[in-house]
Amino acid sequence: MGTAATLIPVEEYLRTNYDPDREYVDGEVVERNLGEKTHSTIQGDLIYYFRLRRDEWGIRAYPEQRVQVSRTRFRIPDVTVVKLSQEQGEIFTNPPHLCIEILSKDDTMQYMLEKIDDYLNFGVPYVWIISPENRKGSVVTPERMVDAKSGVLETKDPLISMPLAVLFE
Amino acid sequence: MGTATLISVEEYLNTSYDPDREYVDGEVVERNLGEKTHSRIQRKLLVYFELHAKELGIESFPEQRVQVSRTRFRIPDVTVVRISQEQGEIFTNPPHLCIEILSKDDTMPYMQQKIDEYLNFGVPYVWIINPKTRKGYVFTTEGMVEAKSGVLETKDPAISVPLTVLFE
Repeated sequence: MGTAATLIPVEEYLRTNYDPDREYVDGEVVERNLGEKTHSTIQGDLIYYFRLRRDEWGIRAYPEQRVQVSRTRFRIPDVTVVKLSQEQGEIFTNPPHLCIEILSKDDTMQYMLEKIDDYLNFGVPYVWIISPENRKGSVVTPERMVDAKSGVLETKDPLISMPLAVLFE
Repeated sequence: MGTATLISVEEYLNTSYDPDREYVDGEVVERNLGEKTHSRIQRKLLVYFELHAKELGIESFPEQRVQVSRTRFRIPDVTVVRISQEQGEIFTNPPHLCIEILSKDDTMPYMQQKIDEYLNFGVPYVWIINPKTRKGYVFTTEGMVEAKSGVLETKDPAISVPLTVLFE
């Protein structure tokens, strides 16, 4: 989660290649916690699950997609889901339908709350938080964050549903 | 966030840790403490509760050990119980309210686990306070809601703490 101390302009952030890719928050380049097998496996399972249902649901899912959530903030959800009807450029500048974050053991609660706020303030209607360590999933909307106690993560319009069992098998 | 060796409940309870630690299924777990902001908010909560203790029929405790299950002991930053509820030196009945003030090193999986343990134990309200953004969140079995009105609340008794009290 280390953050670089020096502030850089948006242009420099967008021109620079980071490996792995990083987020940008008001001048600060922010590292993301990646590289764990569990994290990677779940991300792969999500992409595959959405690919199979792409036409039925009218959606497309993107791993590691850069999303500009405000003039000076860029986030990279683990998986971003947009409706096929929505236009997006190479960098997404319109609110996706769904942003998914898979928790790594080092993700702090403050970092995640800030990121969730960025998505909701941008107009993203659904954020899913998947916790491999606690084997649970939560759905965040502007109103509240609720555990998927039925074991199924969902969104409305379009009606998407994803059993957690698919991810934790 | 944890040590590797497992010890028995008895050994945990017989040992003095400084600062005090939690116990999760044999593992002794360090807590993130010692920041001034964290400490200041904790104090302001205690003062606020003390001023309203009689009227609300509550008592508040800093760093109180709470046994949330047979093999798990947690130490909320602030624990609020009704005066009518009996508790021993270690709390073994679900408090009315457990409050956690986020430190920068508190991970989300750790906090999720702790919050779930409180709720599963029967604690009706858990408040999470984020000093960085000056926001507060209320967890119940129905989920998490941000205190957008700027007031943290519980029902029965009707406790309400304006966030401004904590951050001024």
